[in-house]
Amino acid sequence: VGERALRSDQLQLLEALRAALPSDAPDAAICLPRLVRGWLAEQPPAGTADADLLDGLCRQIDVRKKVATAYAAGFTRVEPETLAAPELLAALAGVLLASALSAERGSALKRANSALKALEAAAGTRHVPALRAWAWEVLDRRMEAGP
Amino acid sequence: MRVLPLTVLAWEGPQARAYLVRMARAGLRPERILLLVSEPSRAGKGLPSRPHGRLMLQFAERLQDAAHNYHPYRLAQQRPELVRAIAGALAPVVPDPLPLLREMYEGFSFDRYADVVTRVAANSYKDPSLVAALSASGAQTVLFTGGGIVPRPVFDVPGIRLIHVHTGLLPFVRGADVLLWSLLARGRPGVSAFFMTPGLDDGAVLAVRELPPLRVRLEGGRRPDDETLYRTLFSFLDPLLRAELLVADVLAPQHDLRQLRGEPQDLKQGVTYHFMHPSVRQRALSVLFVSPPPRAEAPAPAATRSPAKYQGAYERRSALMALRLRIDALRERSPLRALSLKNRARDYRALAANSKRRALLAELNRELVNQAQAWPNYDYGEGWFYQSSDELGITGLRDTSARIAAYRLSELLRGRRVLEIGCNTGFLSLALAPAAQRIVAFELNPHLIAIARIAQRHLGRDNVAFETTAFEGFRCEPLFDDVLSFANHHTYDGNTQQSLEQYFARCHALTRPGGRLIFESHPPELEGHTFGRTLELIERFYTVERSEVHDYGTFLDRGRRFLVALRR
Repeated sequence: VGERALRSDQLQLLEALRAALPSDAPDAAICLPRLVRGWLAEQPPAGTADADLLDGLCRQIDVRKKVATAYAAGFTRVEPETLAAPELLAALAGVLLASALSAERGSALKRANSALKALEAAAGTRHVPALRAWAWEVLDRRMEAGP
Repeated sequence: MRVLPLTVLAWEGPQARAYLVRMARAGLRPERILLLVSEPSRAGKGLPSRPHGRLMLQFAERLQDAAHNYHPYRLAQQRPELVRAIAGALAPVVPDPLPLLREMYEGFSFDRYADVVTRVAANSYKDPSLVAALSASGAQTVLFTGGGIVPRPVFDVPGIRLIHVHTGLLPFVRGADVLLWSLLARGRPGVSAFFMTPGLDDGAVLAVRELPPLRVRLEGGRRPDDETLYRTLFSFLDPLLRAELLVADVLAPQHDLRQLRGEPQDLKQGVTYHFMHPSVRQRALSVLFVSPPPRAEAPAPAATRSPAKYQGAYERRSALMALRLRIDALRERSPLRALSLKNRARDYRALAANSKRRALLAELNRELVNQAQAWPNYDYGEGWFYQSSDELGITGLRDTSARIAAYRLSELLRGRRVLEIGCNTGFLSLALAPAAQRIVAFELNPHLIAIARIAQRHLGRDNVAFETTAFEGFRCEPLFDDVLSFANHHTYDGNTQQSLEQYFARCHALTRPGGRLIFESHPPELEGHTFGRTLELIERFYTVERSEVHDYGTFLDRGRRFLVALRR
């Protein structure tokens, strides 16, 4: 048991998340919709996602408990701050889960954890049940593969 | 007793106590304890402390003891078996842990563990009174006993060095909930002592240990909820792991505390973790806390269990029935059976003057009576019904309508030939019958099939065929468009002996080429964290098209895996 390539249902899900993404935020060092759209368009999705950026986003989800659409460098706040829409949070969760595929065990588990928290904030949007199942699958497979 | 050149910055709670108790056992005393005493009414609002007289400080200290140690005191009193289980798990790494745990919570007093104990009114580490007290004390090597980030002014106290111990192996595991993250990421706990910095767990390392995998073996009976296990962990296990490393590896006689040198961390390594989501925490706790396998509960006393006692109230309307059911629900010790009694009461109230509906329920209840008398295995309905049926006015432990809506089953099964494995009372199949072309549904328990047929007759759904059989014995031609496996791949009543692989091979053999498996798991707490293997087996026979986890219906409905998978 371990992480393998993304399944076709997961690829379709990521495509649907990309299609539902809101438009880009104004220019900023970190423009979340643009980043997420780019990551989702990659083959494989999120294949080149920057680990530090993903870590920074996990921190926003887990510690700050809110995610903005744009940040200045180093995740400093841009005023006025616009919080990410549920569709963007769901897509970000998709990126975190897709990126978990190639991450080492600890990072993969951490990203699944942040994805689950992001999904709570995205509750009610269409793809949450499928993303939640995916997050659980990442946990299952990584745990059963052993440390 | 050896007095160490060490100041313990004591934030009242399990950790400070564990350090002091373990040091005393090793014949060690800090030269000073600075005990922070907070004022809950102001601390909650983020306000700094006010100057206190001695009596006020004593009073505040008592309040603080009760507040910070509320959970350990309560757990030690109400769940002694959990404390014993923790002590058993700790025994390979902490010598004789049970007396240490007792000492932490029975008649503990800080004054017993150092010659100088200074109370400082401080509501947080940001409180100016703390910096003033540290400066005045001349403390140099300080043992930190709290959590969170320490503000810069504390580090600016001349000559000060703060030692912290955390239950993650540095540099690999930093951040919050590190004991649980260590279990998930590395399969075992680690402990590290380091010099604190204003950053997060990034200071020079004094000592590290990776411990053998720990298993807390829970005694039989109901598994405590995750919140209880989590509090147990941080009241009893985590503090002693830290104290052991501190005493054995940092305060060892060969070390001069004034000369301690740490090894800088490679900060490019490792992961900084954050607090766990409940479903991640559940998995981590299941690694540590090992329960006996789930099993059907022992039958309750016949007086509250038998549906026979209610039969009369269906034959002839009873004004006292609602009260009777309420009393029985209060007397019932099993929460599930109590819920079933409440469901029965609700359905009875809704009958009102509907004599036709009452006659139907009388007929159905008669079959429940037969089941209670003749069926030796587990009653999934716990005295009433497992599945609900809005059309029949029955509230079950599972919400059939919400289940159909969440999974979009009517849309999925429209015009299809469907097999339902282990259909219980058949209410799900009957609710899906208007959409499907034909449904065959089987169940081992003949009383449930009898109920299904009564319901079918009442609803007039003739495109459903019910059969009493075990899955092992079921044969059917032609094959089905869709095979429904809804929480049936394991049974915990011993009704089936087949392996999981045999189960899915049989599902596959009954699905036509191009057909689908439509699958629902058991609840997460019963599925454990072995679903990855179940999924592997499913994927051997089918290609997953939909994989979802829904929050709908009753507590028994929530958090189950739902899959739609195409036959390979």
